Amino acid sequence: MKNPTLILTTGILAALVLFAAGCDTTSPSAHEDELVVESYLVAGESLPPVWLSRSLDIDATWTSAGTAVQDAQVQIELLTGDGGVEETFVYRRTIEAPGMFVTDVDHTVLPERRYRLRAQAAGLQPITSETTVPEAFYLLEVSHEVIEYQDPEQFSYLVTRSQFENRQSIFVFTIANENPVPENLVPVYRDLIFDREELESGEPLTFDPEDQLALARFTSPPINEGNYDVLPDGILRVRLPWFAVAFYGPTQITMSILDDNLYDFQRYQQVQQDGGLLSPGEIPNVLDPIEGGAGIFGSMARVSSVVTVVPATD
Amino acid sequence: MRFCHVRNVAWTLLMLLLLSPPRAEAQDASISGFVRDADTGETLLLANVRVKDTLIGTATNNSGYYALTGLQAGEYVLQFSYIGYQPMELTIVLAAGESVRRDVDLMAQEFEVDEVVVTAEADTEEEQRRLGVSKMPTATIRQLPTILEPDVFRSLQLLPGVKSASDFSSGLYIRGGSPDQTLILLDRTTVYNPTHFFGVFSTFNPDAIKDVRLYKGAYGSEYGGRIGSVVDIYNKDGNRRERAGSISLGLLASRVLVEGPHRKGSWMLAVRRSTVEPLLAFARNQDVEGIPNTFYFYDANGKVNVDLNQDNRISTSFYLGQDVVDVPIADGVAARLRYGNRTISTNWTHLFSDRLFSNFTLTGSQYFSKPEFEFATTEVFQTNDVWDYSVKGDFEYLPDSRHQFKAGFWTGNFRFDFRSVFDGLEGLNLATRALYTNIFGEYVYRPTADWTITSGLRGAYFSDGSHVRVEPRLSVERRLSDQLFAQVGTGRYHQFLTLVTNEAFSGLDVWLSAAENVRPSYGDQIVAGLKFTPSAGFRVEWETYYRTMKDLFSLNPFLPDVAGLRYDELFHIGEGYATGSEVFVQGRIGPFSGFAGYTFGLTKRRFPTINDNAYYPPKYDRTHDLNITGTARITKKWEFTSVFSYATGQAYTRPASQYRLSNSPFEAEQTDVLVSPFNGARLPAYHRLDVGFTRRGTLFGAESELQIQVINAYGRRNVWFYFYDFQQDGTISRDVVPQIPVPVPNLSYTLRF
Repeated sequence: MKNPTLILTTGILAALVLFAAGCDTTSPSAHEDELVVESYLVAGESLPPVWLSRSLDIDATWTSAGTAVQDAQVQIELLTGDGGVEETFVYRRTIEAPGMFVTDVDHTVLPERRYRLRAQAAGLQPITSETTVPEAFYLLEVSHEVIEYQDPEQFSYLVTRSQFENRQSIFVFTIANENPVPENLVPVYRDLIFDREELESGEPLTFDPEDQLALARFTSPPINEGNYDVLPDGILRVRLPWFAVAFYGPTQITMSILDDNLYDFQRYQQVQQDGGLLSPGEIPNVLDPIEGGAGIFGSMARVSSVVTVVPATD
Repeated sequence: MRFCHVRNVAWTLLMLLLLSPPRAEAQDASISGFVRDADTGETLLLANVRVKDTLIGTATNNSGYYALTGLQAGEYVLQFSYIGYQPMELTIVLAAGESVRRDVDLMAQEFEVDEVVVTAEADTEEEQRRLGVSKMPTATIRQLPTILEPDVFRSLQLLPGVKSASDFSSGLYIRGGSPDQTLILLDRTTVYNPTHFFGVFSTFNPDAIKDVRLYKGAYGSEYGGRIGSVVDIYNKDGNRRERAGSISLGLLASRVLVEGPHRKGSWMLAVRRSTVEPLLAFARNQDVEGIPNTFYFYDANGKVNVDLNQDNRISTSFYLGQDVVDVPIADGVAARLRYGNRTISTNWTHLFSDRLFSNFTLTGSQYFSKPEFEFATTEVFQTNDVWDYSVKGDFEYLPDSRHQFKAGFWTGNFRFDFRSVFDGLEGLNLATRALYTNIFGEYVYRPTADWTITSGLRGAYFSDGSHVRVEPRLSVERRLSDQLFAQVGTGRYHQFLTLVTNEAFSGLDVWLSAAENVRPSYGDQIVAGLKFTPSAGFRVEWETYYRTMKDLFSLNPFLPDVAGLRYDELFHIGEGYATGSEVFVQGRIGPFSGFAGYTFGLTKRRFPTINDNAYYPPKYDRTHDLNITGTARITKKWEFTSVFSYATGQAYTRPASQYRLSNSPFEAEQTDVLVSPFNGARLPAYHRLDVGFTRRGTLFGAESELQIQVINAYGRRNVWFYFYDFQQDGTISRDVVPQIPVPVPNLSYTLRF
């Protein structure tokens, strides 16, 4: 080899040319308007409203009225086991809220049955979505009607189980206080929300509106049935962790079992908000069940009870 | 049954090696021995040994041993060289069939040892010239400007093909691979979480380390277990001549090293501990909120060497370190975390003959991570423990200068426990007990002085799932001239483990393994390169690579709860590929020295749960990456070092659309949703300049070194990521979360005695 410099230079240049062309491996995309739907079927309850809106460009300003879709054809169909339509429930626009559609048919959502939503609005792609309503389950017993805060016994209740074909049950708990005011805060949350100066000032405490909304209703992430004790008779015993209680007073605890649509939507939306194991700045899309659009059409079964939390006496 | 089969093959291979007579002809002579530092007696790994005016040469192995075999009777002038040491020549007269043992001591070059160099001079370096191999001297690591502490991994991040995720992460992203695709070995022992300070820097104390070698890809069959690369780190043996030591005081931590000889060898102990507690106590006394009750980290490295006789050496080394943090958040709310590593290894080096070298090692490695969180008597805690006990043996047989054989085994027991408890209920309890066995054979053939062909085969067995895998490896080197070498290499690689981690925080890292229905990951690599040494003091290297990644199993990030799931349901399985081209230039002119590395690279992944199963660039993908490092000796006492880095902005997700749901039965607030092409945009370009001054002197007769450094000297506000926040007024704000946003000073003072 006479000229090693030439070989090396040629090699390097060839490689650079090969890989040149900028080679930006990313591909940003632009916004396209989509029909957004929101509706939640609950086993044993009446057919819910359907809310329709449209998606917005990331830089646009969102308003409820501005994005609501007022004119659309909406229907929910009850499907037979082989996918045929057993009954159709036509929805109409209501003046109660922008973008809200209701049906005049009195129908109770049937557990373990499949429903299909169809909606179409001018200028937007029509959407469809299907959900299978979870098997209903029942509250059998609650441990307390009144309980002292941080009682080691913890509030617990017994419920029947709901079966799924390919997976275990997935629960979401919502804990809502009837009077979520600063005076009713339990000590831990008082310390977290208000700084020392505010607590020692003697002035009446007031919530930031965002804090008040977040605290008024605590919602758990989706929780697997595998976390709970299954008693020998097949009954599930569920305990309420004390960190979920932010206020003293009457507290409604709702336990919901999610269908696949709600489970997927909840878990992906949670990662979109929190990041989870993804690198900072990586934002996954929500896994939604809507063909041709976005949003959620899902179903659940749920039970509720009320417990009054009082300050510890010691 | 499969394990028995693998074991039988291993024994057969071993016995063949041990029992087969040397193929050397009776009249062949040989020269062999160890190459050491003259001042300390430390063995020098990968030192260069050549026969003057010939192309016959070799390099010392991982124990500092060399052997030149198949020589004819006559007089030979041997040239020994090693980075930062004065070259040495040794004249030896060999009789026919004579075997000569010569241990050689090289003198350090005081004026060069501190210069910023990565590889040695223009000599033909047999080992360092290998495809994809880079070596980082610890003197360079200590010299480079760095955040808080001199750091092995942050120094490696300056090499082409090696990228960092952010200013806050010491994780190694090598040739498109994630950090868990790099095998980290300390004294031949696997280290599972090599980080301190939640990932900001690595656990390896540069005072304790003798040698750091990086195999970026297409590595030989002697290594395995990861589909990407290998970082092979060796602790110092300790000074064999005299007692010595050093004390370093830094802003975050301080270090002490002591070493010395004993009757039959040497010993070394290096301890590092954070020293920020007084600062934290002051902040607590000032009622600053969020200051930890406890925060510290420490590590200790130790080694004892015993020379039983000329042909047998035994050494035992250990590492232990952990990070502890305890943060009170409010009354009744607290977070605690303890994580760390412990390793121990005992190594026996035995020379069966001057042509047959062996090394046997017993290793033990433990990693633990124990986060706890308490909120209003609700306790949440996790425990993750990894234990890895193994025995390994390596053999090198050098019948003559044209043939070289290597073979070895590595077998061990991998134990993994992961337990998660929430409010007294055990949500997850995983336990893995797996035996693993690896055997390899490698044959190096030099048909002429210009060609080197290295072929190898590695077999791997993992008992959980009874996975048996075979990995062929091949590399070919052609000497085009005295200064120019062309190389190509390829191989298949398997990986039985995956790391659950977060780029921003390494303290909660969890390792998971392949199992019955979880197949190990695998990948193929092909690498080609040119190595050019135009003149003394200069070196130019170019390498290009393509690699695949298949069956990448990693924890599904969209599982909010894993209780009650089958083990295989924890994972999503993906694939990926990476390709790129790297240029490395190193030079020295008078008082100036330095190196520069440029990488063009792209890497893509796809998982069924992300981006509709379409390929996307992971965040750490950077198309162009340039690092320039330079040192100028200003006076005999003062030295200036700088590092400049430039890189294409990382991939990130820029949302295109938004919508809000207002009627959730679960949430009182709106449900905010973004719609985005996943990682479809690029952050602004990254660039940063770090500078440092070093002043050498004496204090009470001891050598002293004062380092003054400024990280991010011109205050570049590089973006780490954007945070999108839905506002009450209906808009979405985009907040910039910066990397190190301002110039950060660093100060250290070292005394060597």
